[in-house]
Amino acid sequence: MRERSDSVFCCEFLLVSSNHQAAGSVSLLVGLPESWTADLSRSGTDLRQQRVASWEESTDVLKGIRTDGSTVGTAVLAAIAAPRATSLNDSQDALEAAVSANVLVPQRLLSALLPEMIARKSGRLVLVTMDPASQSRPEEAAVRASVRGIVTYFESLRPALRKRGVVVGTLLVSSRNADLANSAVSADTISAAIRQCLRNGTPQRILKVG
Amino acid sequence: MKAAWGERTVFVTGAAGGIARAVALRIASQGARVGLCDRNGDGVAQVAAEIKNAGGKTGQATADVCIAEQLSAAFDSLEKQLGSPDLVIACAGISAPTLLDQLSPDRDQRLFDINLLGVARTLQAALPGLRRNGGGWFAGVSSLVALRGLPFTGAYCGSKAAIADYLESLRPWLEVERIGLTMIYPGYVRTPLTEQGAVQPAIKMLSPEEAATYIVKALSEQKSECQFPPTLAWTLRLLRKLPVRMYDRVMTRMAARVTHLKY
Repeated sequence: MRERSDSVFCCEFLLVSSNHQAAGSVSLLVGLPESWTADLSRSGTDLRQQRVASWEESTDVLKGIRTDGSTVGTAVLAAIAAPRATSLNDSQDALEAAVSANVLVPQRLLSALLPEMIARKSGRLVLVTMDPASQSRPEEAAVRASVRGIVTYFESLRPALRKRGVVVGTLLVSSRNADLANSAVSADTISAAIRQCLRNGTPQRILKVG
Repeated sequence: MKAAWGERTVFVTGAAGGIARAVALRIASQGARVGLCDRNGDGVAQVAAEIKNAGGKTGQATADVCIAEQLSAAFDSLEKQLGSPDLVIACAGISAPTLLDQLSPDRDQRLFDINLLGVARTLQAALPGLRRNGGGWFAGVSSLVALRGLPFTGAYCGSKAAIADYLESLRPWLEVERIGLTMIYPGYVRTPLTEQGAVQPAIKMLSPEEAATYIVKALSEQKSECQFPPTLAWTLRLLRKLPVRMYDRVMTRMAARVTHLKY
């Protein structure tokens, strides 16, 4: 998700037809940088990219998938927004932006995806975010807080979801590179780690890059 | 420099009930001038009356921590009534369960808005007064359950874990402004908030007055953090060190004992 100056959120949904999933099952990738998904496309998967301009449209995308008779079998959600403060005075604004992108978006997506996955007793979810411990400076307080919040949220749900057939994992990317989303250097490594988490059902992995 | 309570001015949010009320009464009984702030104006008035009846000095203001302008106006009002704050205690918070069969992003958003952003807004509202005072102290309330994501409490644990990380990260900037920080991690305390939770734990809950004893002691000594009760704090710190798969197995077994909710 990117926040534009007019406060409209853009969600990039990449619909991936994955051959090893059940017919009519799609893989949903939300909020991943183009460099990461470009790597996934090089691995042979067929990508359709759809940009939506608001939260309401994101739910329309999901409705569209269901109207087609498809279901979301796998979802990879990225929570990698990194608004930074310059002082105490703007730390709250940075926090609000970080919470909006890194906490509320994944929560809303989960509430849209999980009921169906639970009913089918199958599904795979991976949350890709930053390792909170790698965001230790005061200017990164908002980022650290927001990712801690969503990681803890996922941790709380993870064992219960596994009991219901939905496998949830968290990939924590530890990097000193401030602009993780635009770093081509880490794209291959992160994409490979995402594939590994999905394949093995890894509950949590810390990946050090750059 | 530590000052006796009788020389201090303290603002407390969430002061109408629970832990905040108990802390406010205790600090007021030790001579501090206590500014009470809560969205429940009647509740604040009752606590103020108790303090005045006991001979204490107090001020009161009504504000919702979700609305930054209300908080700023409330703190301005308290400053006019009592003077610049030496200590601000951000204690306003709510609880609600996160259940897989009843996922509610609106409810989760409200939890983060109050427990995380509400505390951040409280800090922003407190900064002008603390700066005019030449520095001071800020206390934020997290929770022991924030040390790890516990079953049935995803949004509550997430919001409380987030506020701990947020304030701890800001500690260097606060120190530059001569503002100290105490992070408070209560265990289970018998308050209206814990009654909102999905699961009532099968352990002895502290009373708000017992919680206030731990908190006021930590604030008196200007500790950087306060985790209580000690036994539960140790248990949860150990839980935090468990490998992920083992933790999931432990949580699944613990959750199975909760028979009135589907896990």
